Amino acid sequence: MAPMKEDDPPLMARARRDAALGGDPVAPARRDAPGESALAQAESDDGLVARMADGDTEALAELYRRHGRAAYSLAVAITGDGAAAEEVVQDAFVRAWRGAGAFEAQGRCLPWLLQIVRRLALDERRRRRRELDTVAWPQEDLVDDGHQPEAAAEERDVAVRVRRAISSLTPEQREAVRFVYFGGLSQSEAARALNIPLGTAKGRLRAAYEHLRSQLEAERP
Amino acid sequence: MSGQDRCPDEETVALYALDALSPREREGIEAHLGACLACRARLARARAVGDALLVSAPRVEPPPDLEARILAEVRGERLRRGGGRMRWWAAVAAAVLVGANGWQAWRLATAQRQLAKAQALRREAWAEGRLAAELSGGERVRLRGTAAARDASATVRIVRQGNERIVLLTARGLPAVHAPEVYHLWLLHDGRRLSGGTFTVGSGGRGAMAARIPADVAFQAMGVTLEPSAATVRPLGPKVLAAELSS
Ligand SMILES: [Zn+2]
Repeated sequence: MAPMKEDDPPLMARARRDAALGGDPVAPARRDAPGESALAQAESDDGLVARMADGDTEALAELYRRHGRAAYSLAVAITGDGAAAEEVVQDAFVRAWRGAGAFEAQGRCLPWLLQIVRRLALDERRRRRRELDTVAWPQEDLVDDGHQPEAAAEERDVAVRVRRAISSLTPEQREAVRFVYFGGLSQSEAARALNIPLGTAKGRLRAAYEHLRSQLEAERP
Repeated sequence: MSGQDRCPDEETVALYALDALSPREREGIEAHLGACLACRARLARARAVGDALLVSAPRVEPPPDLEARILAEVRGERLRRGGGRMRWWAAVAAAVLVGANGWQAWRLATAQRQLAKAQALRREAWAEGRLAAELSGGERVRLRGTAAARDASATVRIVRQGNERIVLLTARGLPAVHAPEVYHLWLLHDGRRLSGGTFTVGSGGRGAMAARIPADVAFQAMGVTLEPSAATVRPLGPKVLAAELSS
């Protein structure tokens, strides 16, 4: 395996940084110094989390304005239920607020937040004993996403690339990823649900992972 | 599966990336990372794949008031932690009003509405049962719409502050009210119904209120009725929300 450069920013970190620079229209413009570049003015997500740790609720509000939509979208995809997703997102941001002091995922704020959302959404699914076919994502036919003009260009770009990678999985691989990562099943539960041997389930997950990784890494500009 | 001193195989790394490992297998890997630089890089790349999947969900717009609800909860919590120089209800009111930002529906019911003034009413079948957990501090109770308001739902959070508790209710999907109608939250304690406060709703049938109750009073049930005015001291109108009993 090729060694990873230490300074090689993960996909999401780049997306987050670029999204911040791209000026999400929902976020309030900070233009108190006219002429200064957006680069100098955009506060990093890490900076927001540091302010949250100091009890600054405005930093939390800003974090929500940047990433609330991504959080809500993920929660809806996993729970399949808008009202449940609202609860999940509210809980997730409250937990992020409480956990800000212990934040160690520098440069990975959005993944950190979305993993909180994912775990809470999976808990909610288990609580409601939702059927697996309510997991709406990932599906092959949802690759095109022309209806998200508000998302910052780079974030949208990452989402499109990830979807393209997902759509190039085999249906069996995609289903395995869906059951495990967005449905919260263990490998053996997924094998049972798919009615295949455990070794086959592991093989599909591994093949899916290898494929996604090579696609995502190959597409980096 | 690797122990602490053996590098995990590629399959295990893949399962790690997709969160398909048992907690024990996961811990084994993470223990190994402390000693193995190469695996730290492998696992970072694996994690990046899982992370990337999270942004791929189809975009859905959250409701416009979600930000205000999050801020209201966080500000209520900070207040509780800090213990107040301000009277709690003034601070909640300020936090809510500052945070509301266009969310007109917030109505703070009245801390002045002392429970002492609330009428204790006769025991009746209205309660529907006992809440599984005694509501003592930090809990969250879901209320479900009744037949009179099938689309309605609400969450009640109860947070302790000193020897009082703050009840924060957020509701949605309630039918519109026409002044002087209000929604009224009732708490059932030992067969006595106590007033939790009143609120109205704005767009989307959203409404909210805060009230305080003594810390040592255990409630077995709660519900919301639509009342002809804020002056009623016992429910006259239809019940629209009832506590969702957890088994
Ligand atoms: Zn190793």
